[in-house]
Amino acid sequence: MSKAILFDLTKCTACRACQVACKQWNQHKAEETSNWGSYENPKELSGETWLKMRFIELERENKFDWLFLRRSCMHCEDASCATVCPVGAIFKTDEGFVHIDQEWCIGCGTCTQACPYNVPHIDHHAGLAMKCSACTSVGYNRLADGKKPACVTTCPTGALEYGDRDELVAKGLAVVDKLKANGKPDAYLYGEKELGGLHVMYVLDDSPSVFGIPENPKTATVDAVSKWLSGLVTAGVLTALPFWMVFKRKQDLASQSGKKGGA
Amino acid sequence: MNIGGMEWGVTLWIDLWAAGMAGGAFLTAFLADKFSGGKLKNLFKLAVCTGIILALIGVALLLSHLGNILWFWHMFVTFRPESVLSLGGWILSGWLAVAGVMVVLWIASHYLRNLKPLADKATGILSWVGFVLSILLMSYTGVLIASTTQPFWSVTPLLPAVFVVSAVTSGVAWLIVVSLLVNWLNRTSIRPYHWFIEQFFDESGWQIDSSAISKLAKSLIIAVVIELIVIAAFMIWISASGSTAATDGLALLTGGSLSLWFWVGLIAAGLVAPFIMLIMNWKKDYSAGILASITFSSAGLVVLGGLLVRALLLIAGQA
Repeated sequence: MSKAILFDLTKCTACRACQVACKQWNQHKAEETSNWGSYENPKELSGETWLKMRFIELERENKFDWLFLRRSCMHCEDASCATVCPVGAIFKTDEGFVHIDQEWCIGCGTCTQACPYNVPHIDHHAGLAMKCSACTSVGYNRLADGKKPACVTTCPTGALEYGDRDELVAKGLAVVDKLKANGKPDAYLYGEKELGGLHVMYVLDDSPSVFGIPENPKTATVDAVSKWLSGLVTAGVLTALPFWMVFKRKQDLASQSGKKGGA
Repeated sequence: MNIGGMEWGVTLWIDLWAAGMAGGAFLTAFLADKFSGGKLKNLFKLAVCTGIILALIGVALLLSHLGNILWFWHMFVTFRPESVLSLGGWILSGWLAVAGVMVVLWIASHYLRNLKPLADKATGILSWVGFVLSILLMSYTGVLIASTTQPFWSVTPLLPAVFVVSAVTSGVAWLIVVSLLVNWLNRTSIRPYHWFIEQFFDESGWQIDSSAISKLAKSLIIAVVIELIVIAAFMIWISASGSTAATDGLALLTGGSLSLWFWVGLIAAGLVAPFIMLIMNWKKDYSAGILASITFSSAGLVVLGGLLVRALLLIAGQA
């Protein structure tokens, strides 16, 4: 059965309990950070931080607004990280979550460049790619024990929900409809359709671009054929030109003038 | 900009440069030999032997780039055609195997003269396989970078074309550098060099014809022009893409903190200056006297420009 996590931005108070629960459950160390002018901390995801809250400050309708967004793996149905992994260490669980096999990953970093959400990071101590596994990591698998992911369990406001994906899509769409009816015309359920359907969805009260999320995310290999063709055609046609002009053409001209001279 | 903190840093720049140049040198020598009616076997031998060194440097750096180097073998028990890195690993291994077998056959026929006709036939077939693998090797380095979600790399399909053209340009330049070097070494009395060559090859097989070097220099002039055109097309495409993230990367190169390296290092020193130095002497023998030094310097600059193009594109995409 396809599962998912639904994040409802309108219920989030940014207490960061989810961020702490993720660290605790996965036994990740705290990171030494410095103030960079935002309440948001740490600044980016890393091998030790698989979930963090984003704090977005912006002006909407002539009012200052402070928005909160859960930032972690989106568990794409069409997961670029899994496609580009050269050793097949990234796979999908039965629930539809994207999992990195730490016993098989070689730490090449290809997945870090392929993710449209810039989620996987190389942990330089372990030398492996790391990211949220929706609590399905070996030895830390909550779902196998019938529990919810740690972040969902700890959320005090109900902003995070875990369950069957179809049910959460219906629930998310219902909230979006209410938001639209209450003067939020650009409210949107992010993840319903993106990248084949995400297993982490957001109820947003505005368009995704306001939150800095890609509106039309694409998989890394979506136009791989045209890129291979670009390289191969260039190699086959364009780069052969200098050698044909200098080596072959001169050879032909020389043999032609030789024939004329001999006639 | 924290270049040291970038996931794809200096080891990958050099890996892509060395592997691309190995493929470029193979393709150059193969085409030059074929278009010359098979008269440039020495040049081809030089391209394969030095290409192996470059490819091995590429392999070593690729492995050093891995976070978990001891598990590199996972790549060779897995074949995933949808993963460019997996394909690239197999292409590079295949290329090395073909080039390695060719060198072994040349050395074997040096000791066993009876083997020479068979070895010639086998290397003839392998050279075609190596030619195809060289095209794939040059292409893979660019497709690997382009098959990401970094807008500066992925917004245009022309990035692999830039890598391929640069690989060929660097490959021609590399062959000029090593050809002039080998011809100079042949004229010296450095004993270890001559001893080494005599152990494994016929010494006559290490003299590169001066007309071949001149033709390579002329090919380099044309290749540099093609590279400048392809780089310009790549930049125009990005400008017209409408992607802010991609144009930000381009702005870094053309007017930002990387602009000095781009305009002076790559465009002026790595491409335009060698072009001018070489085209001014179009009718002359590029391998003789003072002109040999100019040719050597020009080709050396193009080789370094090949490294710079990869470094700059990788930095701009991750900045």
